[in-house]
Amino acid sequence: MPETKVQQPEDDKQLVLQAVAGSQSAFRKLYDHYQKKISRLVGSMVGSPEDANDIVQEVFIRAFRSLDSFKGASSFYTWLYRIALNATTDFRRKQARRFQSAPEKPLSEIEQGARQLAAPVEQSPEGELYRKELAQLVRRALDTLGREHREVMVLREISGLSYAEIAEITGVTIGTVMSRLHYARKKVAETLQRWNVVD
Amino acid sequence: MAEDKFELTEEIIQRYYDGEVDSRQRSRIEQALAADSASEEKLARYGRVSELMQLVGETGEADELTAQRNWKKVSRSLEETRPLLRRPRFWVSVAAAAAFWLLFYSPFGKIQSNELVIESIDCTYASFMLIQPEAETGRTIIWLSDPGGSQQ
Repeated sequence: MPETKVQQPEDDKQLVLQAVAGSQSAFRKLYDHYQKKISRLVGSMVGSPEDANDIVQEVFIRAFRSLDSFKGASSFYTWLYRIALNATTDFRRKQARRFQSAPEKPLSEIEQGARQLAAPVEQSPEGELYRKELAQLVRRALDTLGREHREVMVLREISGLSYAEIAEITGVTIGTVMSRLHYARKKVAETLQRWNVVD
Repeated sequence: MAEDKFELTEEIIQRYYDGEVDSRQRSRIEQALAADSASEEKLARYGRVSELMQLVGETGEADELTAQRNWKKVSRSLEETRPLLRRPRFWVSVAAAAAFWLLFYSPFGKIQSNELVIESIDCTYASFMLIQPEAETGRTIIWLSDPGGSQQ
């Protein structure tokens, strides 16, 4: 089960107040605490590490610029996760426009690749390559989901957030989170089964 | 009794898997799962998908070096968007300019070289004023002339 639940430091609000007053070192502490979680979230939704880095930078720049508008009604990290999801959506939208005419990798090629990957994971360079390619494949399966389902899936499985936290970030009810999550898991499992990644 | 009737729905299995049930529900679900292999299989499938998703998360995470590089770019951008008066570099420049001015143009420098600083002279009734350059004695003489005579 995913167990990477976010632990919010008690002094987040203090650090936000200091950062609003102009303290870059306070903002640096917030960055240090959350950059790994944000990079995991963004990196799982964007294929290229370079693009993911650009988005992570954009997330923290946007957060700093709009710190004034952070009222403290919600937790800082749920607010930050919302910014990360928006920045990723913006990026994917721009990318889709840019590569509208680019041909998609044929499905048969993906399936062929998946069959080749159906080998035991080893502690070796080959094993590491296998894990990376497998991760690419799972990311492709995630891409078959719509934005709303993908976001819920990633917030639960990658970030390990609770239903209540996901509901707060995505602005829907807990019931909707549960039904989106159920659909997303089912669809990803079916896709990976079709590609012979899981039985 | 209705309370004894417990059905393992997809929703309940998912909530159990995600740790979104209380301890009482948990033990009832575990009993039901032990007697239902199909539900156990569903639970196992959740586990397999989660494992693969974790792989995506791990490969997406930035390493320390990348995190440092990202911060440098972020802080540079923050610096550019800050109001001028809140930028440390601005104050460093101001301090450097002030130090330069104090060193070469400040009134302190002139006082130290024994020059006389005159803040104001009232010469409303004077027809002319003559300032004699500093003498070797280090004294400066100022001559004022008015209709009634001259005064020093």
